[in-house]
Amino acid sequence: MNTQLKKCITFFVLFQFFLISGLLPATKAEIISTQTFIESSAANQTRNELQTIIARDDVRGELIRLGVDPADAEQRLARLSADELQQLQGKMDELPAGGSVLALVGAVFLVLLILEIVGVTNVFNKI
Amino acid sequence: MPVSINRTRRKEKTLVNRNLFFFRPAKVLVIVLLCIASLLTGCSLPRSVTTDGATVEIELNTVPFFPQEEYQCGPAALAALLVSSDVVTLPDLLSPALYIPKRHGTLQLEMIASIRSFNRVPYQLRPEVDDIVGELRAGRPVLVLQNLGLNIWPVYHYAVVIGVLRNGSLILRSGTTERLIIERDTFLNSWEKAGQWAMVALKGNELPADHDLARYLSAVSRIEAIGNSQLAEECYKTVLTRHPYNDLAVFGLANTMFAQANFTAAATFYSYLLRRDPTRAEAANNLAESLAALHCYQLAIELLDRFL
Repeated sequence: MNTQLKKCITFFVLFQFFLISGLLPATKAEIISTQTFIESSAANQTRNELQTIIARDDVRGELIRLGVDPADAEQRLARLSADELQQLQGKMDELPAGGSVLALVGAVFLVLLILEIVGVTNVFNKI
Repeated sequence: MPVSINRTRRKEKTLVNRNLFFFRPAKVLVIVLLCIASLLTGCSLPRSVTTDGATVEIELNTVPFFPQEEYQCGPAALAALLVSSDVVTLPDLLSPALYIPKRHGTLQLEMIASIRSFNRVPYQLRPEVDDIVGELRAGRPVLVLQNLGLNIWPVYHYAVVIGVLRNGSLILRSGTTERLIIERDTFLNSWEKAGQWAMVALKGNELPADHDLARYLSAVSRIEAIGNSQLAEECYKTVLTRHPYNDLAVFGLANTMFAQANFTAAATFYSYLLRRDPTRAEAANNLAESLAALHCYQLAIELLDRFL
């Protein structure tokens, strides 16, 4: 192995080390928040911080995938607390989304009506 | 003569043909569907009662009505709730921070986050209709999530409860209907299918009607976590004026003091908590932090040594 390659590898390892140590939240003495106090999970605070960073990235990606403007997505993320971000993570497609009723009720109604005509149901006999 | 008879017969025949064409089954179906579609204006439920059969017990007439535009029942309902709590806003202003295009709707957590961003406490009620009525009595409209479809085919919809009749029916601002009267059982059915979610927006000086302090303080602690220390401080003080010995509220108040760099006040509250319960490690930790912030390092280390 020539010295240039060694230097190169050393550089990249060091670079990654500094990159990761910069990203990871350091364990330090800090104030215990009321929320942590309520949930009594002070020991997990650092782990939670890391999970929150990941959750924020995931939810941002999901919002943009679902058609939200990237600039709006950033503002929307800033309003969510850590536990809320983790509740949203990976669930953006399943969680209830209140929207228009007209179109969807119409669709349900149509299916029921067709079932009624075909004779499968007799929902409308009672009205 | 025979010619003219033939002509009239032909005319009759064409008329009959036209009538037959007019009443072809496919067309009948289309007409029936169109009639049904015209009845289904907005979010009105086909089963709801639309006449006043019973006397009104409570109705908050001043809650504004914003008729929803396509898929926008979230922003419309939220605007009604916020304006009732003296926030100046409109559904169109709320929409960019609420609507998710490909879901054609709004998530509950984003409704909660939006309430917080307008300096109000989002307080989720216990899953009881009585608690909704309790909030109405206190003069606050209640945001609810309904599932108007089936469990396997959900159709989620936000509405605002603004009143209740003597017979138990509820009055809603819903979709494009300004005053929807819905039977209690019909409402309960749709509400239970959506997880019995009900939400109010509280000002900093208001406590929820159910007086469930643990639930309330949990909501306030999220406000503190988001970084709105001023609102959280006001909320903790609201609790303490009525429940002076609520230690959690004192702890919260101390934390908001610390967050606003008022370390002397924070240290005073933490040491008060420590005097009440000398084994409280959280109070000791935060008191040590406050002392360190006040450059009293020796005191801070001595305090922590007692716990290590």
